[in-house]
Amino acid sequence: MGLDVRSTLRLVGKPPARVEPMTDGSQRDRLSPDLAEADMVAMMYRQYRDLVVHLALRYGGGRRAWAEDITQDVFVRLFKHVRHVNALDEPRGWFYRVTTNLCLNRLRRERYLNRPVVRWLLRQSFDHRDPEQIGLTHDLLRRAFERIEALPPKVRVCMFMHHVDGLPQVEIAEILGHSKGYVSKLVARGEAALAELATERRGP
Amino acid sequence: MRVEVRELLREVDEAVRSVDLSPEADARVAERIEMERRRRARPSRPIGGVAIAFATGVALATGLALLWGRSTHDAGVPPTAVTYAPVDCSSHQQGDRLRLRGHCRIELSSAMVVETWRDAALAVTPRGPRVLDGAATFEVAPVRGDEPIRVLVAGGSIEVMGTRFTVIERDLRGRVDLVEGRIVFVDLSNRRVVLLPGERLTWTAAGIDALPSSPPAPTEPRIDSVVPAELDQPSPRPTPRITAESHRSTVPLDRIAQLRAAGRYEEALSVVRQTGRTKLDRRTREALAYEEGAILQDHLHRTDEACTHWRRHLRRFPSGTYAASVALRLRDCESQ
Repeated sequence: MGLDVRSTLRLVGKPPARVEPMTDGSQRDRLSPDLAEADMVAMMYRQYRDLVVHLALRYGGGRRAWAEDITQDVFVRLFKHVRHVNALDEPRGWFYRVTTNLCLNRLRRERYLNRPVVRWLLRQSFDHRDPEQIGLTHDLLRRAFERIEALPPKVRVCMFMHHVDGLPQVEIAEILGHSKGYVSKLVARGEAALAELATERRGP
Repeated sequence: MRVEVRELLREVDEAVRSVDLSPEADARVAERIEMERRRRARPSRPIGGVAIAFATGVALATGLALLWGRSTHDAGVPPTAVTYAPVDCSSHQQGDRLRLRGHCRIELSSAMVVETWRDAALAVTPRGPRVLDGAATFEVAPVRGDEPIRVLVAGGSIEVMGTRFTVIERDLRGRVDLVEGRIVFVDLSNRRVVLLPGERLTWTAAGIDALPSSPPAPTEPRIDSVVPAELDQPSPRPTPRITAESHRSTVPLDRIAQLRAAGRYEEALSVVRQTGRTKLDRRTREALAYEEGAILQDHLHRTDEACTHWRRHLRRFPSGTYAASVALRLRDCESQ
């Protein structure tokens, strides 16, 4: 029988200080291939849940329900690939890649649905995210959050991958399926959008 | 400047990371994973489906029997079991509250089945099920005796003798669309309003908000798009899609609803098909095509024909409003 994943929830600790997408391979103990797939999923859930939730919260602008949906999708998808993922030297990369791409797809869909015409046709209200809900009370940070949320999804994702996760542009291009040149352009576009706030932060 | 941009992004990222999921959300994720595990573990689809539905039903029935036990006499037909049908449903039960996600079909009693398509919350009370939030379609078998089955909503209750209707409730506002049969809406001051097939009634926490009117054409709920915005309004407003008014001249909605209500499904099917051959906009054609499939599958039980119909529907309207529901219906139909 499979391991009850609910029992593993108690074992989930606080997230690591920063998302480290592909760098902890040396410490990994591969799960025994004799384990049932469900057990592997449960163990990987315990191990990688924080990474997935963190990425989902980041790209979802701190929306819990959004992050919850993405987390479910990632781990349900894992069932299909669990043996392959277990055989990888660095499963963390798989989780990083899949979560990022799922978030990106969802953001694109949302962006489309948030167009005024589509909203009017579907009678949906704008999904507004309040920066104060995630504790951003400082004016500069609040404005930065709003500026980031207004960026096109691809630009937003590239900016975080490059500046926060420290991924080189070649690797981002590989994960997102774009050329390095295009990623470079996206990052530059994001930097330009935040330039004014960055200057303000640096001070006179 | 790059350093400042990086620092800004990191600070925002740190703030977002402090949010984390609630324990309930974690439990729901775990439950979804567990469901997926069970789904994959079952030996063969039909037998496994029945076994899982039975096991889940027994477990939930035990809990619900305690809730219902004392006052079954004034509750109309008492629910006997809660059975989750397959589709794509995840549920979370807390006390008498059921929170459902995805497409769920639940047997609340031998006489009542409720179907939800997206997020919905129900409470199972001694007086009857209560819709707390979201959209749910109820199918009630004809009730023997004088006591009707009741569905509770914010503005009162709905008394049912055997019918199919959709309830949508959000923020203490809601509406009911009657598909088949006859229902009586009883508001909080005991005012009774009878609804006939094809009619809609809206309410607020204070009671009835708008008396019966003709609803938009599709008879299945469109929770994905219409519900929240529509319920934000004090009274229903015409949708830009198909409305009874805009298509009354070309689409005999009332006629179809009446035929279905009377159990004359062959005739209803014939009217739907004839209407579908006339010149209509794409959305209306899709709604009628869905109606045709639902009659074939749910009422006439012509499974092969329904399967063929759903396949054709998906080819004709691959990204239509009903695509997800049709895909699920096709899966159900093919598994039979």
